[in-house]
Amino acid sequence: MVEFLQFTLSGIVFGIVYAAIALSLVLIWRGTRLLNFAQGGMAMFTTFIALEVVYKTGEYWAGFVVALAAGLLMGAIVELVVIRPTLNKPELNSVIVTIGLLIMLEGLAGIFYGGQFRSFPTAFSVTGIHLGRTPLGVSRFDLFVAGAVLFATGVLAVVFKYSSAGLRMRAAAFNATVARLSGIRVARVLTVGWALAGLLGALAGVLVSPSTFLYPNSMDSIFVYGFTAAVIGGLDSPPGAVAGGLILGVGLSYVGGYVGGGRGSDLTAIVAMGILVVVLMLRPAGIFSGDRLRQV
Amino acid sequence: MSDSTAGREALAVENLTAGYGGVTALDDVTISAGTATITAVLGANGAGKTTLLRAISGLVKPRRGRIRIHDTDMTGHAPEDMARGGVAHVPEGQGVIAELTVEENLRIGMMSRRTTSRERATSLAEAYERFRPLADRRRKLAATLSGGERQMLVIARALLGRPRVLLLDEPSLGLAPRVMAQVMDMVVRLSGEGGITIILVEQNARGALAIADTGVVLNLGRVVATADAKDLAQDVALRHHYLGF
Amino acid sequence: MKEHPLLRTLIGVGITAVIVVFLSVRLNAFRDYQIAEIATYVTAVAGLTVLTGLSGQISLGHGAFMAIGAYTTALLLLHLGWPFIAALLISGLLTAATGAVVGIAAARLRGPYLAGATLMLGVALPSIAYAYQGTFGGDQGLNVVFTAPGFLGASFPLTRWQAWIATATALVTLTLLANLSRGRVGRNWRAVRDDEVAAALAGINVAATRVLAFVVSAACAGLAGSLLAIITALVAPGAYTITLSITLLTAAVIGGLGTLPGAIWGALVIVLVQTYITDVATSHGLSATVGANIPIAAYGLILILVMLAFPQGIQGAVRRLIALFVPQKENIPHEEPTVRKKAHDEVSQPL
Repeated sequence: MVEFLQFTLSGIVFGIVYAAIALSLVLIWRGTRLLNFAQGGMAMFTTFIALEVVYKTGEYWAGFVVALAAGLLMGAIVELVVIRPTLNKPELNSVIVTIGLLIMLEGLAGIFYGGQFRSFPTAFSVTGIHLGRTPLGVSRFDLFVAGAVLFATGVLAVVFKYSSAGLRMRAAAFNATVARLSGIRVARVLTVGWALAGLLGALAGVLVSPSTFLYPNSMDSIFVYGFTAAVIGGLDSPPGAVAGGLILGVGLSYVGGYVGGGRGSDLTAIVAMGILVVVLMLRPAGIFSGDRLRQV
Repeated sequence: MSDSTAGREALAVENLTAGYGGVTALDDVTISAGTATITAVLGANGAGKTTLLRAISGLVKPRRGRIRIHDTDMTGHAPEDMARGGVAHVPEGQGVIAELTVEENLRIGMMSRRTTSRERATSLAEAYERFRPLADRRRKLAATLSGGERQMLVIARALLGRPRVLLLDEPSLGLAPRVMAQVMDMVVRLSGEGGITIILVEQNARGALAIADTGVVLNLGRVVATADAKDLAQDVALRHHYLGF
Repeated sequence: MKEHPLLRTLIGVGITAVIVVFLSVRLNAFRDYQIAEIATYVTAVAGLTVLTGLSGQISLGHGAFMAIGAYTTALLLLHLGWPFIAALLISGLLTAATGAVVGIAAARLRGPYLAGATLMLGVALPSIAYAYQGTFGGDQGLNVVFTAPGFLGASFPLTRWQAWIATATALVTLTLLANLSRGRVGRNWRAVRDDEVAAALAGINVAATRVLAFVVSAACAGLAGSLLAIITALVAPGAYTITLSITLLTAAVIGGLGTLPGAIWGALVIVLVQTYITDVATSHGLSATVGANIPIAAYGLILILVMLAFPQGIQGAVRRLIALFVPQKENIPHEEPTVRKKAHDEVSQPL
């Protein structure tokens, strides 16, 4: 029973990180109908930048803030320089372009920072906290992770729903033609969308790197899990992304914990793949989408 | 609206050639519309009427020719800039963002000009005053509106941008005859009271000519007739040949 | 001559084989190794370029298929001591079967969903090696013992033999693919890629066509993996990450997506550039890690630039060059790598 609680709680924490990646993917998908394959790579790179800042200043929070700012900036630059030219070309082009960006970032990280696994610091203690005498399987830092993502998500949700900038973004996402005819600078809105997605990705990167260690390929599987979470929830649905992340996180946590022979943790990737395939085959629009038919 | 601008050209389209890919949809089209007039653009399906509006509003880039709005050359400008320059385009069949509420749709209409929040509140209140049914449904999703209500919303939204030129593409499409008549009435009032120059594309040629000042007939991308609406309506041969009545 | 494309292909193959044999005898062992490496990449990239360029299905997970071929060969050689040719064929068949499974699962997936699912495959599959360390050797992998056959004589260099086998495999693969591409199968692939609805209306079984493309391309990757196993004498998960999958895609795109000569160009670029850059890096005193990562960063940049500026890749440029000198006959349709347009209205306006 205690084990179950531990697996559930730590699954939720990981799930929230997947949800952050999923949300950044959904943000971009709604705005441009593109899947940003470089999202994980961008997050990895901004985390390396953060690490450098932490080393130089000795301050975790300096690195944290720099990572977020770098994510914001990187998202905007990527949209302007790399994505914008592909917007009227065949779909395959933008897939390949973001893949190119992904390995370019991984290569650059290898060049500047090397390939070894680096440990990334945390601001809060990572020892497990206890409820009374029961170890909960999560630490103060994990609570921070959950809180940070939920806070960021909440802020974004409020901005989207209640601010005029948010209205602009939604209008541009739902019907770019009408938005443009109403005077909305859709191009600018897209850049902002990518910048926000970059911010979310950077946040996910600093939050998860203490657990996974930081190396050029470290965000590959996180990205792929984030993608799976987004697919589970429906690429159009921000709440779906959060739900998908939690479902996936908890599910994989159970697999890692309960599947015998110590193989569980190595098999999580395979299980995630199985989940992805099943969802794509049965309910390609995602579990939480309405009856909106999506071309898969 | 000062008298010195009355009668001056609000919209001048000169030798416009435009199309999609390998197809030329408009060929050397010249049209001019005086301020606060209603110009009906007529013709069979595929004649180029919709493309003409899309070229004026910037959705389609002209290959040749000029577009002037109140003597300012705005050829080739992006749709956002045309909208901010006072051109409102209500496209055929769409124009309402179904996933947003009525009020959100209206707010979008105001994004083409600079406003303070007080101005926005006042403008919204005016819009609700003028279009009562929208006021009743302001928090509902636009998807739940009937055809006539959607058309109302679309025009209300376009008006909130305080346009000088209003491009209407088949505003009465799919509407019941009574509602169609109301829409036409509204169009007349917009140009008369509001001083807005209106370009009206309509399949319902008879109805359009009844309210318009000028009529332009397109066929296969070319202008085949430009005249006073009354004269066009009486030209039986022309009507039969191009307009179907 | 033009009426017998098969004859032309065979002649091309024959000439290439002679050139390779000649080079392999004249050049040193390292160059022989490079020839083998290039031929291996050609085999894999040819399959991928057919899948993505001709049938319009993107795969970011072909490294996984190579891994399957490699591990199968390693295990067969290690535990059963079979002759390599048998291991090669079995690897190809097994990977083809896997390709069928993947193809069926992916039959309804398009665009980014397909890309994401195949990326998942590329990320997830190598982890099996860690999960079942007993069989697969975990991180260290499996050693592959491979020797040249007796009839060649004791002094025949192993690298030369590897170069020959790899080249032979590559040439056979290219011939078969060229044949498929020219025939009904190839036409079906292109029809499905360009307009599924029209293809279905014309009576083509869209799903079967798509799955077949996966089977064929997976088999090619499996053969390539098998070759890689004997060339590098080691099969470990670190060599089959998504970096490999993306490198294959890079080669296909640089060379010219959907064209078989493009597979050759792409493989040449990948192998030669990699070696060249590593040499330059080490001669300038940069560490091995940096030297290994510069090509990767370069591939990424090249992918972006090619997609933005020269989507037809090297083969596209070659063809345009040829068109300058040779009077234009009718287009050979199976060389045109077109890709489907986005149907979405939303961001289709010029910004």
